[in-house]
Amino acid sequence: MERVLSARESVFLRFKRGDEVAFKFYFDKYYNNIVGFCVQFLHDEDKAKSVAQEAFIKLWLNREKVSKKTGIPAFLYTAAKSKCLNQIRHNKVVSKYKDFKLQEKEQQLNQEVLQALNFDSMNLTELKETIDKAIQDLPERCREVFIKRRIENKKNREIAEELGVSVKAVEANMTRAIKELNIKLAHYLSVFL
Amino acid sequence: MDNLIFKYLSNTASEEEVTILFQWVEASSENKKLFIQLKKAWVLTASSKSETDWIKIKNKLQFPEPITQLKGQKHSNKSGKNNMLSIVKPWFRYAVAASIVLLISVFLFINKEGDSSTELQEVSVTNSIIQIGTDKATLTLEDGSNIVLEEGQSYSNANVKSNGEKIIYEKIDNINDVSKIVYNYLTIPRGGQFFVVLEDGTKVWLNSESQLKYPKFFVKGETRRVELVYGEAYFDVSPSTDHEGSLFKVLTGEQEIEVLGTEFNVKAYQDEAYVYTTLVEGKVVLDNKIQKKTLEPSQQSALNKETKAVEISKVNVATEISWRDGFFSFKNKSLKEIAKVLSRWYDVEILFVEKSMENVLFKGVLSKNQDLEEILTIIKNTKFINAYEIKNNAIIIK
Repeated sequence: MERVLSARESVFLRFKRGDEVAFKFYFDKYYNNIVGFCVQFLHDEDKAKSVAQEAFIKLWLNREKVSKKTGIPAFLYTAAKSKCLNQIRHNKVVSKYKDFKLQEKEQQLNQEVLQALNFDSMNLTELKETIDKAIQDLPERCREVFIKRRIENKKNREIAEELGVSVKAVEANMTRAIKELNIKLAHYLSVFL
Repeated sequence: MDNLIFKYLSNTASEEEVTILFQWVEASSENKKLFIQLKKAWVLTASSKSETDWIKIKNKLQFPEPITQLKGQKHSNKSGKNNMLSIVKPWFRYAVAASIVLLISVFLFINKEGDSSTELQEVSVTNSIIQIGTDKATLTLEDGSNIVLEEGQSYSNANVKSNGEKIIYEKIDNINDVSKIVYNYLTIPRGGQFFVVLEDGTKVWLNSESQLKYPKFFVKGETRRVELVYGEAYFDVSPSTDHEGSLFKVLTGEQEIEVLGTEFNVKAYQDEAYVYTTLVEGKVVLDNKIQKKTLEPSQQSALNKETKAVEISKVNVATEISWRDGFFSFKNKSLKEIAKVLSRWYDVEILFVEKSMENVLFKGVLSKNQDLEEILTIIKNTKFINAYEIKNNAIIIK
């Protein structure tokens, strides 16, 4: 099976040869994910974007060292991980909590989470699919609310306005979404990672 | 407590709740392990919905060489709005070393900076469930049973193997009896694409909304026959010299393509008036029962299904086969033709309020791996269309 060049492999080879359009292909594919990843640690969309952009620039400059196509997300996440760790260590992250102890605790936990991530051995695609599927399976309203919160980073009030429902209803849907995902994913994730 | 973890992860926990959660996390190493696992999964699957920042990267890097030409072009018999080209021109010089993808991003960027307030009125989206196409197909076996192939689904049986991205038939030796031939079908839905290696080693890339009929194995010494029932396929045919001189034939409803060993693209959609055959390498003979034509590399034949007239022209091969490598490449294609291609990949209907819009010509390369809305925004920002509306699975261009 390995000897045959599929469309994806041919994009990868073009990328290796320095083809800008192929690079753009990977940018489109992974950029939002890398930004999303960084936001979880940096709590700031602009900072997250700039870290993600640096990761892509690093990828382009080191494209010869990437040996297979699955190495691309691994490279990007690894670069983002070390940038995020640096920012946390140098106290550049603004916390969302008022309580100083809570801030410190979160930074410390975040460092532990980042250090526990090893991108070489992980099947990112499979993981992403499992979670995407669980989100897809949520009841419609739940899913809408969840996606608006999680991916679009919207506030409950904004979501309520957009959907023309009460803030309470948004909260209820969010709680339900979290509960359902919890049931579906908790076991899978605990054995998987 | 698991609920509290998800609440924290989704940013909905209060400060008190987070305090409780963190205390729990520190209470035992088991707790901490679970917390870290869940947060890992969460951050790895996080995404954002940011506009693309490609231009920022692009500005920091020097790309080695020009990749595509770029131009948005108004249909010649229409006056007005010709300033489009003059807007483009200053960029032209700068962008000699860039692709339309970049140019388009520049438009996107400038417009976003300029008047994001008016944008809301120009774009309306209701219940949008439009997704980017993926690798998927349905395999129909000789007994009529159907198997769905898609990412994450593997299948194997006798000489057949699939990992959900491609399907491969392994070589079977010493089959001499024609009566033993059985056929499989590979059907690619709208929003799909797939790749197959046939038993003789011939590789076939199949585009959205296509169906290929082929034998599970070929008989030694006999002509190898497959049928593109409908749709678009790129063939890289295993040479006759490796198969004791056996010819390879591709049938479509209207014509037969006879090959020795070569690469070519066939486009035979049911809703199009022409069957297009583009030769990349080698030599093929086209036979539509009325006439026979031979194609040279870089030539394309357009067979009019109704009149059976054949027109042969020289084309840019890379543009014709870019779909195989994950791109849409349009060279002076009308918005109507572009809409057709997009509608197959994104599985949507695209409708035009004003028929004249259908004739605006465009040129450029787009990645197939981006949301349809990004592409619509790009087209909207050329000012040739005023607005678009997404309703369920239909897009209305205004």
